[in-house]
Amino acid sequence: MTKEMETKLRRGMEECLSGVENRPSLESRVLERIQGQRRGPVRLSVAMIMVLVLCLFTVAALAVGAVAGWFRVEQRQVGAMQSCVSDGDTLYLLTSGGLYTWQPEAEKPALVLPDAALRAAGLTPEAQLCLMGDNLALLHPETRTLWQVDGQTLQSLAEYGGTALDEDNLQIGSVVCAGETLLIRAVPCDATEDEALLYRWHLPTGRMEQLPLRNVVELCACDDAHALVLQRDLSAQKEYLIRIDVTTGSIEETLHTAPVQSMEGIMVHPRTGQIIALVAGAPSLWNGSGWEAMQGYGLSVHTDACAIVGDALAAINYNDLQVIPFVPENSLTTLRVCGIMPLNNEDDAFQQENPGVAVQRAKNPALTAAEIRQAIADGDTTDLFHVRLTWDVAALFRDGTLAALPPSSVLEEDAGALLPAFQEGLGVDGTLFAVPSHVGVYVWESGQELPATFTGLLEAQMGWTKIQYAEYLLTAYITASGEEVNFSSPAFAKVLQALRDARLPENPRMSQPVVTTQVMVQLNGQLPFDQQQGESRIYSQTETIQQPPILWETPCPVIPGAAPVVPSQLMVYVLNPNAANPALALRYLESIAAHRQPEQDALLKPMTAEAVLHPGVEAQIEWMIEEQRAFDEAQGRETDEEALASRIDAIKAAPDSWAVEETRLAYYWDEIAPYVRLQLHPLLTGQAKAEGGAYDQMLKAVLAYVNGEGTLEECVQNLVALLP
Amino acid sequence: MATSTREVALTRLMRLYEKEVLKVCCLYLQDLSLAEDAAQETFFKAFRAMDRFRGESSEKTWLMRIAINTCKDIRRGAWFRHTDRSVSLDKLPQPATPPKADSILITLEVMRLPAREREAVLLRYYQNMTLAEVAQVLGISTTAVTKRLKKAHAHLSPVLKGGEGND
Repeated sequence: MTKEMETKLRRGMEECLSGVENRPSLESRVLERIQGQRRGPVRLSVAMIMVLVLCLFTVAALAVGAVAGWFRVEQRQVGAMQSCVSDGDTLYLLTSGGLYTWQPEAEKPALVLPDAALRAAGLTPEAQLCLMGDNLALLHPETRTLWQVDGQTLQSLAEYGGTALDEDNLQIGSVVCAGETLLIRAVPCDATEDEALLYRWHLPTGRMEQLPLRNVVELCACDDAHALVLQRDLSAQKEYLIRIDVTTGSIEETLHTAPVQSMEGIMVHPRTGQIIALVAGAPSLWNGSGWEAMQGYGLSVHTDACAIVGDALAAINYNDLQVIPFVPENSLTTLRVCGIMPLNNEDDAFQQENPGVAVQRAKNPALTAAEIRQAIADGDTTDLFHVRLTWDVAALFRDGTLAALPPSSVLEEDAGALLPAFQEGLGVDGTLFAVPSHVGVYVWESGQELPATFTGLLEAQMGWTKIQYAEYLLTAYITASGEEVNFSSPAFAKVLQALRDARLPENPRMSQPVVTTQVMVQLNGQLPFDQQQGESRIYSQTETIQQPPILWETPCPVIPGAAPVVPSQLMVYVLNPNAANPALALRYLESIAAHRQPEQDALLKPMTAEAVLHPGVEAQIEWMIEEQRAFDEAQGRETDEEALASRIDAIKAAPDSWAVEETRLAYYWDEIAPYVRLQLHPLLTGQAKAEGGAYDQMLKAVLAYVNGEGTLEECVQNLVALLP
Repeated sequence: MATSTREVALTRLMRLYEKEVLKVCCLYLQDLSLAEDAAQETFFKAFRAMDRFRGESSEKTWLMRIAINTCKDIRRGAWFRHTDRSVSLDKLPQPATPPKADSILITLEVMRLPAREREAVLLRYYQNMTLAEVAQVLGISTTAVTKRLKKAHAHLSPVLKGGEGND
């Protein structure tokens, strides 16, 4: 990783975690606990809820599995996954729990060699599995030994100590066997995964040699004499699929050269001999000249290793094993979605309601309007794009690049219930182009009464720098102005002048901020500070837990007397006019509209929203009623319904039992929702804010003026000249 | 060490490392509430183990090792198994200033990494530890650390190489 990437990575995480600095210290809690005045964090009641939630999830997963043939094993069941290999009928799985086998009809993997047995032989789970003919083998880098697994015993077959591969700075990435030869992918410690080397170990002679192939990212055996290698040359941004002759180590044929893709795993189907790989998470078939996405389900997780077992693809990562069935041509319709991965599993409800459909997602978290435009121009048949709604994306509605959504009473009803600001952003002249999936509404939070004007904010000395004031002034003024931004207005001139004249503290960071900006509105119930963070909970029937006061404030308007503007952002699904399955895409959108998380739905549609309990809490209440009645019946007595109702009321009285809490919802509806606006403005796009963009230049002009350069007239002239 | 002396030592440790421990726990567990539980537990365990701390590693390395193991224990709990599949920043503390779009994408991508890659990335790149220190914290060899970091790099490189997203 380059220094620049390291910095970007660190800065990214630091920015997202900056809120940690403002958290109250845990010091008193720990000291109280040491002194025996406080118990440790126990999630007693929550655990009860979660058992139920897990049961519900399992039922849901089984339901999906039953219709789709999915199979999933979690780390908690078998240990952390390390390596897998398949002979076509049986999957062999090496985990931190030991060596397992699994066959497609089996309910769970069977333990063949427990971890203790492997360790007794000096092996650790860092080993790599491979198949040598009909035998399972294990290459263990720490002992430089190749082991054969014979039933429940291990036999040492060969050692490579003293050979070319015997280097401490080489990591074994994967191993395959073709005939009597092992091919070993090894990564030097000072290199990246894309710079792996390839070694050839001829077992009868023990000869180990490094092959003149670099940048080996994937490897698989075709037959006793051939193997496939995927080379990725990042500097040339090319990938090469190569067939090599294992007996000589020479390149036999370059099957394919392509631009770099996010390709994982190359496999040869043991029965059909077809070459299969995971391309952007989708199982894809080599058609002789390129990859064709196969019908079926996609993977939404990173994959460490994969194999074909039965008629399915098994893929592992550290956390789980997923088995995804291949489906016969035309037996399953695939809905393709490209863009931001959902933050929650939005596809579950749709998959359960549509067993004959598989949702495949191509991940592109920074999908831009330009990329969508290009994809459509290129005839891409992706059905839906999932993207942040920006001015540029909205422009695709206006210029007809994106398809208007077909008539749908479900979508019309959904859109009709949205806050007007959201409704307006999703379409043009009443025609709907997008369906929202997530929304962020950003307010200020303060425990004090805030000034009502920008000049008041300046006088309040909020700990902001002049740059922060200038950014706020410019962004808020543009957002409030809408399409017609009038920088020549006397009111704007007055606030500019006030900012120039303001005497701000030299070191504003030392002053106490009175307001936190960009606070995302959350409607779930909150506990008071002193009762937060996982203390064990006893739902008291006599004590009511008060939730902390709501400190949300609408941002202060820049121009005196103007209405406040609460900025918001939507993530939306939009329809590709070239969609392969437009009717299915519409059904998916209807499912998204009908199955949003309650908190999201309430933010989007506060006028029709109601308080909603967390699903886990609802399940807990049901479980509690059933258990109590069953217990009482077993004891031969009548259930005390009054006492039971009282316990349920106590649970419902706890603010954090609610996914949408009544008081917060009412506050949002009354105080915040009337001022919510989407920040859809050509001056507020990523491009405009980038170095040299219109907004960036405007900000520089404002800063120059407020720092004492030039006159007000010159500043306003500069701003007007930069208007689009 | 007498209890009062240990309390003083613990207070010093908390003032020095509490936020760092909490940040790592936040990124590991993706949930502020769980992370604060883990951080609290970490310092409690540190208090109990203080007499056994021989200074073979730095205090920070020692604390991080306890924190990572505590996070692993929490991950094994039913609560985490329910929540680990949806990755979002919603359950992290509200940032003091709004993060840039690419920072959000990077953080989400780190949170989506398999756990063993994520812990290596957090310690090496976020906590700026040396490979040897990361190896000490995770109880693995430095070569294994390097391997995990390489895998993580392969997963993260698209988003690290990507430009600014929409905002």
